[in-house]
Amino acid sequence: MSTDETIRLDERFDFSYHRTFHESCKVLLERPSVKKITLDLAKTRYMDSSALGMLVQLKKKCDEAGKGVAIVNATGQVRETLEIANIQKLIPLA
Amino acid sequence: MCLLVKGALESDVVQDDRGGDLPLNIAIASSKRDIGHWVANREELDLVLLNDQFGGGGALTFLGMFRGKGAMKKAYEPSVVIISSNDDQSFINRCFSEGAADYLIKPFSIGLLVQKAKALLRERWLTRKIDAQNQRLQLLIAESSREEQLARFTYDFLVSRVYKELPGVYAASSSSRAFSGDLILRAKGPVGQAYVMLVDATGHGLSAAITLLPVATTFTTMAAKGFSLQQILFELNKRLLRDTPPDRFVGAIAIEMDVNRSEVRLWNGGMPPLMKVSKTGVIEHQFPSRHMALGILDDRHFDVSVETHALTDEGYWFFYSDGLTEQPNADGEPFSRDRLESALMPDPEDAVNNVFNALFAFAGKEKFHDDISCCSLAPKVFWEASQQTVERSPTGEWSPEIPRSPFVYNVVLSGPQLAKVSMPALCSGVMQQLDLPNEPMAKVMTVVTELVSNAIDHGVLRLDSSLKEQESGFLAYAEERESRVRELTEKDRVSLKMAWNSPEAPGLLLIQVIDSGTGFDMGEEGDDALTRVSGRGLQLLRRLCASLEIRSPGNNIIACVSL
Repeated sequence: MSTDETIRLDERFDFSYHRTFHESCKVLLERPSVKKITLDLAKTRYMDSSALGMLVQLKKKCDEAGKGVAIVNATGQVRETLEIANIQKLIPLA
Repeated sequence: MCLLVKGALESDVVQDDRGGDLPLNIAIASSKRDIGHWVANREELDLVLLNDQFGGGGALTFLGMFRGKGAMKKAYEPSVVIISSNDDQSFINRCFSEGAADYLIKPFSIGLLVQKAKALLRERWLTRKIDAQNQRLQLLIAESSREEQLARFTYDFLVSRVYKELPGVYAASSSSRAFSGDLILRAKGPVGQAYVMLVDATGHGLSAAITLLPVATTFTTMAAKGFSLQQILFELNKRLLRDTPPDRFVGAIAIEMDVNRSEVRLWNGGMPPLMKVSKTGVIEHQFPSRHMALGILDDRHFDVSVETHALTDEGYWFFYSDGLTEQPNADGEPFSRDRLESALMPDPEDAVNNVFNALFAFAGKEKFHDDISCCSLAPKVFWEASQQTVERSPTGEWSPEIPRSPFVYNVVLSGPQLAKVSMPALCSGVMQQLDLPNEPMAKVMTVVTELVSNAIDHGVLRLDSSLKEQESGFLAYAEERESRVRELTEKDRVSLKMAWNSPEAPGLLLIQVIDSGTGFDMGEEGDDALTRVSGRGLQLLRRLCASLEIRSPGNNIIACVSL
């Protein structure tokens, strides 16, 4: 049975979060039943350019693994940062 | 204590001044003086056996004395049994009408006297118990009333803080008790956004209202800071989960109207569906509850996904607490969803009034069995009002929420401190102390985080971002970073200065970061910018800052941010 899985990110999404982010993604990337990874940024208040890099890297890995990826609940400054970087051209922002 | 007035019993009946089976002590009054003493101390007596033939005055004279007047309550007067050889019925009636508890005609069985005495004592014990309970009840009622007054004051104060009129938002509510378990919260954010929440706590009255107090205060504080609807919901859920008993939770409909994005965001947790009513009064869309109420799920499972619509949409959203459709009439029939839909009108304000009028007419009373609230929200009315507000405010005028007083904040870190102490966190603390609203604070924090991480990683540690582009690049970058951090010395330094509204940058927040490195190139974006995992820092900073100056040799950056 295929599933969509959600990763809920913390208040601060920057380089200090990369290990947690990497481990959360790795588990889901290695699971064949997972068809889509959704990143829930509802709690995230700010992110930096490292976080943008992590999103791009996750997109590449999802493409390689044949999985979808999406971002939900990004608001305020976080959404603005994503839009400045045109992340929506790579990953759908809902 | 039983007072035996001389002659009431034959002397050979009473032995050792004890009442045989009677469970009390016996005193004997053998003179008028004795009786006077006991009348004065009659609260010590439970039972008086009064000899009608004593003292020549007759039983009625002494009965009146023992019955007393005024302040002494009946429960504390002794029961008086008149013992007499007089069997005249009118005399006996008179004795009873003047307060005798019983009347025994001589000769009588001592066993009968004991049984009567026991019955009188039991009645007296019960009367005293009820009296004591009544007194206790009166005290509790008085105490409860005082506590309710205090709770009412606190509740009214907190609720009055959150109540704000908003254009396009119309609401009405009725509580079934002194305190309502429903609350309609309205608030404006610092940069033009507005929030509306209809919350319905489990239970009724004060216990339900208490659950809502942290909701009201948290909502007010976070809305004033401009937190997103999702962040507010997360915090409310966390607080309710932590601070209220497990069986207490709060259904909520939460709405954010965002003028900057022209969006209205809706969230419904455990409440009846919101109805989107067209400008002709027809229901064209429904938004049912897709989430659990606040205060049930932990952070990992709590979902704050919202439904988004255009703020410029015609018509209005109508929402209500379940008490509305469940309110029965005299026949026990509920008001029902059908009647509610029939009562909706094309105008949002008329809709709220008409729904309540229909409810009063249906229920036939003005006090309902549950707390009832309903609200209509016309996004376009709010949007149009906000456009007028914008036109009245000259461009560039500071938000009243932003403090104007200048301040300068400096911090310098060196050596291992650079890895241990988070400069952005220090800045965040300062910003919070200064009551900076959420949205500009998030912008400042994004800029500070970017500048500081560049200064440490590329300036001091001389790390190359291109390392991130490789397979498992972030991990390799992190490992290399940890290795270089271990070699930091006191000569490795980063200084940060934040100056708000200073003479060199009036009306702006100046952020200057200087590192002890030899300077680095932040790099401009190239053709492959979108798919690269690094190299977005400069682009991000240029878009967020009013100005950005990189001073040679590249270890001194000055960013000016407009709040």
